[in-house]
Amino acid sequence: MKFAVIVFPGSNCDHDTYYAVKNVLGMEAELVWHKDTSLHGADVVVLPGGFAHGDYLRTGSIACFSPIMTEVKRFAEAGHPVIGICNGFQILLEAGLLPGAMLRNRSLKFQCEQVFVRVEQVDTPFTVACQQAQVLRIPIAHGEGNYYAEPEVVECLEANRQVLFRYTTPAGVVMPGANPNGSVNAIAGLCNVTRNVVGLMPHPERSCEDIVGSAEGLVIFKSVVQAVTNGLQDSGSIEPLLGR
Amino acid sequence: MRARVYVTLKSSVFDPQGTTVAEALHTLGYQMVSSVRQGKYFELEIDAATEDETRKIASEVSDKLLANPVIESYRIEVGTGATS
Amino acid sequence: MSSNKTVLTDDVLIERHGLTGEEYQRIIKILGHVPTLTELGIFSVMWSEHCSYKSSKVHLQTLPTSGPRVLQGPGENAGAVDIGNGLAAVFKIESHNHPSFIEPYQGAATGVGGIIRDIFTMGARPIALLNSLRFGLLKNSQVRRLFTGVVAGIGGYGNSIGIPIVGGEVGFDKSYTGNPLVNVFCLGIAKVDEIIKAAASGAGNPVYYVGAKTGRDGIHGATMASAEFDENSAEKRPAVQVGDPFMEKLLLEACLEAMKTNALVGIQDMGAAGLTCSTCEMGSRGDVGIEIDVSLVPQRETGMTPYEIMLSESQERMLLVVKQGHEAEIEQIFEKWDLHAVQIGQVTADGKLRVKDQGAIVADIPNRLLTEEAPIYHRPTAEPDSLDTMRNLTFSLLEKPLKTLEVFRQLLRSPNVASKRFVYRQYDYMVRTNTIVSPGMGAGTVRVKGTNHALAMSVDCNARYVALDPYAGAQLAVAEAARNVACTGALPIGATNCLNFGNPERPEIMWQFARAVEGLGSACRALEIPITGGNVSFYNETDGESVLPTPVIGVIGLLDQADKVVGRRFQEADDVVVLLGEGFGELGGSEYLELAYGLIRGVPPALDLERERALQRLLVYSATAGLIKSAHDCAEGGIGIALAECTFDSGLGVEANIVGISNDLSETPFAEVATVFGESASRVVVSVEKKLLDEFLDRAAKAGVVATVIGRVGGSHIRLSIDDRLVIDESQAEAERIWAMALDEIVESSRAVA
Repeated sequence: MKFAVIVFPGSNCDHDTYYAVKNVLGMEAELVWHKDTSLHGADVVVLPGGFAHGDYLRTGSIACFSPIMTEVKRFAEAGHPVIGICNGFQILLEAGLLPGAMLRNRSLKFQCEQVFVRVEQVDTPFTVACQQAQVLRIPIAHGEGNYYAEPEVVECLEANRQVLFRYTTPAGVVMPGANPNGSVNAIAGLCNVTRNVVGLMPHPERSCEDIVGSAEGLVIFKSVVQAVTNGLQDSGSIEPLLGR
Repeated sequence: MRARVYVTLKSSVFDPQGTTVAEALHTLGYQMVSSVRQGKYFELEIDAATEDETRKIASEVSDKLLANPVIESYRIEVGTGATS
Repeated sequence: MSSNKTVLTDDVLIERHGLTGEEYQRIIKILGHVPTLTELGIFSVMWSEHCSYKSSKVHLQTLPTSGPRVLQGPGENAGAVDIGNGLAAVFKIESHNHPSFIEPYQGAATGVGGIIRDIFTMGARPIALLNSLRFGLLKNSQVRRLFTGVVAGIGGYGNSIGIPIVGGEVGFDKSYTGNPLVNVFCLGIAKVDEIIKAAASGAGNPVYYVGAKTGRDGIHGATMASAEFDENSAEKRPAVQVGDPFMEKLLLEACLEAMKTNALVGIQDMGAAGLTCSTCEMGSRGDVGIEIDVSLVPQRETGMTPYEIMLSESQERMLLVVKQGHEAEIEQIFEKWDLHAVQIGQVTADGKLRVKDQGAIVADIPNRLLTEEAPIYHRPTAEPDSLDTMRNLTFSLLEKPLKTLEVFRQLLRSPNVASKRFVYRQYDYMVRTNTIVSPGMGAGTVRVKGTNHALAMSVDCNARYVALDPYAGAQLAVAEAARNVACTGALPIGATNCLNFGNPERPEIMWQFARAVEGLGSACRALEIPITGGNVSFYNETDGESVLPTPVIGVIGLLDQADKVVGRRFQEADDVVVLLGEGFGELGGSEYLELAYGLIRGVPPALDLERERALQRLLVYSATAGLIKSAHDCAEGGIGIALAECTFDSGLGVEANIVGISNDLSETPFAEVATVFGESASRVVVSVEKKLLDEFLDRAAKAGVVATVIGRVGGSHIRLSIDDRLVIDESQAEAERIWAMALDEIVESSRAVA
């Protein structure tokens, strides 16, 4: 199976993600340029972190008009797994593939630190290998990670179990002091209605080897490998269309 | 023709930058400034014959790109506008 | 039209260009005629202090710059040392002090941009950044504005371009109030055989311009459209350049791709003195000429004159010399990244820098003479009169110290000692997933993917020591930077320096500079660390008040095995705490003296370079052999603070007992503070697993390093005794809280008051 890591001008974490998937997990991976119009037969698409298009206008706003995004949308609508990390999450929001928007961190400062997130749902391609309520130590590095959606939308997300990760203490407790950026309901990551498109602000690709501080993020990549290998039905996603 | 687009955060969205600016003004002695909302301002030079046409195009681009409808709203002013 | 015309006599023109009469005569001699305005502008920037090093060259030439690993010494855009596996570490440090005072965010941001370009222009991918910053005292609201602006600017640029900021230092002293220092260090990796030099060659080869359009940014000196200088002209010139990290990211990726082809002859970034410096230096290095037409240069403002185009310091621009016939290859790569590579001229065989404007020649200068005939000054030096007084430290005249525990708490919260988390939390230190020692955890260390190696790096300078004795202070700076690197287990293999001083036309400043360079040289020789390049920043003074002399040293070290890296934190309860080196209760130039009495007095701690060398070698050996679990050097605040710092972020306390000093302070009220907070050099606190203790102590003895078991890791307190008498007993959590929150509290709470 193959991962496609999309590279926009200004993406920074493309190589980190590629390295995590290829060198640490041993999977096939390809860097796909934003002007490309094909995903080259990938089974999973990753939108990596960084500052695509300089974050001009609004973070992620210009990237959604890149030619590759037409393919990514098609891929997502066909039920295949797509994950957006940090800037990638912001792009998915701007592209309308996930609901809500990102505001500046409450502190108005860029924040780089290790945080703890609790896994809320394990029936998505990216969390199927996790334990329910498992707490993962994964770093954040962002200036605009304050997730916002209108109250009715948030209610819907919670009712539909679309919130996948929440900022918590190391013991898994949600509380203001454990929310680094002010996100509503301490939401760190969520999925779409069909549960195949996931976005999260923390960087799991930075948490795949002990030597860099933590390997707890690896399980997110392992999950999607498991999901694709075993067929997506297990993970609760809609059955992918035959052929791509 | 020139269109001026003012993009602001919806009133329901917390604006930490605006709040910080207001607090800073208070420490400078401007307590009478009770609140501040921060937004963005765009000047578009549009090749259109009429004001209506200009407004229509400005509206379209605002919907598509300049404003994020989840968190922002916008208003448009159209006029020939003096060159600064 | 304009009412304030200044009639431009030759004298005024010359002066406004920062040239002396004698220098002007030299120009006429070189050209054989009076220079055109454009030629005058070109000479003025190339012969400026910043570009020509005219006041510093004679001293810098004495530094040790060669060694078995050195692939590139001073003279190129950055230095390079061999790190094995066919790879080179390419690195340098640079300053952007004056712009940061004018516009802190952009001044600092463009400083970061500039040093990054210096690295990738050599064919190296930048993989880490450090910064060394100095500000006045934080109770001053203007200083707070500079501090927060600079930190935001560095983070804003570094984060956006995706290069991790893995460490640095921040210092505060009132001498920096009007003259903040912003020194930025960058490290990159290149294949040894792919290092590209910035030399032009091959007559007929096209010269290309790539990157942002040229504007009027940062043009210093007179801007004259028509030989008039009035207020209107001044408005046209923005004093500070504005950086665009996104543009630089595109440039970086495109250039690295272009370098992998066979189509490039040479490349240089346009930094200080923009087009002028890059064309003239590339031509001069290759012993060829370069001819360009400024009307072909992409411009973002209208009506720019050749003078302005040649002197502009617009950011994010590169100059390339391409092999004839390979133009399309290069153009295609830049098109992919939505950048435009524009041919603006070609290499010639006549050795001239020839500038045309729509075909008409506006400047025609012999390249080599422009660089090699730059003035070299042997400026007079004189030891400052005040130095004798400053070196006099009579304790009997000082008020008795507070209780040691109280001093301990005060030191923990003093800005020079307190945690710098306020700063580095705003920096992405993890991007590129190479960081194995993060800011605050020891010398920044990054692994080198594709090998087992890692590179550690540190920038250091205790400017107080330098003020009291420039020679000794500079030696101590080298020792400290190398020691910090050695603590991670990395062997120091190269250094770069950023020398920040006042006005070199003042003999006292020049004396400080000359002595400091001598000290640098002697320490680098003794520790076998070659200097591969660096930067000099003069004129850091306001109204005759100079900054403390601040020669910042950046040292890099090589760890053969990345997984053997050692950090500063204690790891496990019951590990043994060992002190390497000895304390002599030296308080000269100490943080304690400044904190308690507002004084910079005395003499800096003594330094035995042989002992220092032995200590560093022992640390490197011990890490590789897996003998030690943590290592942290004693710096400001001495062993008292060092021990506390070892416990931070570990959740573990420490119990230690040290020997009281025996010198003339022994029987005085200062004995305790001297013992605990004295800053004697060449000391490191390590923690060792019990079962490895004997082997480690044995090893230390063989290495000739004094090693004393002083205590154990454990408990929930920081307990320090002198000769078995308890002098500090503080909750570890409380001490950490004070230390961690201090800077946040000062900056955030003061905002409400100011």
